[in-house]
Amino acid sequence: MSRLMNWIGWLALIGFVGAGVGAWFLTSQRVQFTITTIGAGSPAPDPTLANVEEDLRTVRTDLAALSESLAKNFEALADSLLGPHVVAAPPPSVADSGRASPSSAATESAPAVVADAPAPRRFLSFQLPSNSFDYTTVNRFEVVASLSRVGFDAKSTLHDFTGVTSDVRGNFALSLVDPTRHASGMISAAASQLDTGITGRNDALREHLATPQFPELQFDLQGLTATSVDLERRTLLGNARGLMTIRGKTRDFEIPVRLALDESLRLSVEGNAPLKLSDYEVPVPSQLGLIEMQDEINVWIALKARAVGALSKAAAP
Amino acid sequence: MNATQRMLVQGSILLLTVAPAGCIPSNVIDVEQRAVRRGAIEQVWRTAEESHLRGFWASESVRGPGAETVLRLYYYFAADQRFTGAALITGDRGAEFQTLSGSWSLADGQLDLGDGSPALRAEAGGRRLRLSSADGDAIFQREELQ
Repeated sequence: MSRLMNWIGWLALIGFVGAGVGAWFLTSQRVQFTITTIGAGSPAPDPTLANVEEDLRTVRTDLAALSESLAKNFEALADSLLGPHVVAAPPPSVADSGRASPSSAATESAPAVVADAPAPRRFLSFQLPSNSFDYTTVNRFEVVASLSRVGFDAKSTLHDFTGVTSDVRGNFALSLVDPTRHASGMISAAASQLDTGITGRNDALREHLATPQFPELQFDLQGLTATSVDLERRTLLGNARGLMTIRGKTRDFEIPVRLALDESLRLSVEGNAPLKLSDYEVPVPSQLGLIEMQDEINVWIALKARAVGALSKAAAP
Repeated sequence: MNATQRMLVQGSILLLTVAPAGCIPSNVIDVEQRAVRRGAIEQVWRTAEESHLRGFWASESVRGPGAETVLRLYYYFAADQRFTGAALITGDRGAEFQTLSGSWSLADGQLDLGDGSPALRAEAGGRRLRLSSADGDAIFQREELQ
């Protein structure tokens, strides 16, 4: 019995040693042992951790540079908006006692005026551009269709009539003080929308103007010469010249105009000039050879336009 | 029918054909009538009260020095005395919306928007609201939020 126990013991010992050797072979590629002496200096740095630290250092540096640059830019913005005496203050918080805070990009820093810089322009609590509209420079205008009309007056054998439309579009750029400096633009009207007051006459007009092929009547402004400028009343009298296109034919055209600002500071443009239909190869209407329309009509404009900003320096002369 | 009678009949027919055209009155527009003239808003204004102010308002007209750059205004006055507003304003970069929000209070027709600016004079008339200040005034029309 004791001999058996001895054999079992030896076998168990050999088995455990063999299992240990086998485990060592299996894990030798997966386990790394590091032996270091305690107190013998800094351990070798973990490369992954070092990379993270480096990245964090870089981000910190970039953030510092960005903060400095932002501060300088806000200071420059404050200077340009309100003059050189402005001290930038932290923006007000909406949550702080519920005070209103304009949120446009131009007013984020809400600078406080220290010295004699002009106060920001406001309208019903909204902040307006710091510079009032400069009428001495070249400004861009857009036609307000609902407040504009173009038309013509015609004479015929038995009666005279007017054709008119508010289907007008256009934009132009000019200086109200010195239009010779720059005047350009385009005004167009839908030919099919001209209304003479009688359906049959409208149909005939569309046929003569060939509106399906030539839907637009167009005037391209090329210059404006002023004959009279009243800065106090903000009115200008002059002659607008350009190219008129009717029924696909383009001709030089000049029209005396009166420009003025209304109480809402919109620009009104009014004028009229004679025009011959035959110059544009428009057939002159005639009925039975007895009722004829005259070749010459009187074209008129009554436009309202809103200023939409100064012409960019790149485009201005 | 002899030749003379035939000529008279033909002439009469021709005259009857073209004469109606002469009955069409002239519709030439006078020079003074060519421009589109928006009628002045005839309105009886009274001092606005809080109940009248609550709701959403869109501007109909803007007048004053600021009108040159203000295209459109919107205000919403809530019952909890909060408000928010938006203005379409043109500048060197073109038209941009500007918004603001805060608390409003109304006393004796003076509307305080809590931004430190002088109070606005608020007047009501039917479905209209007029807000006035030294900078100009604007007339609003109440609009329903659906």
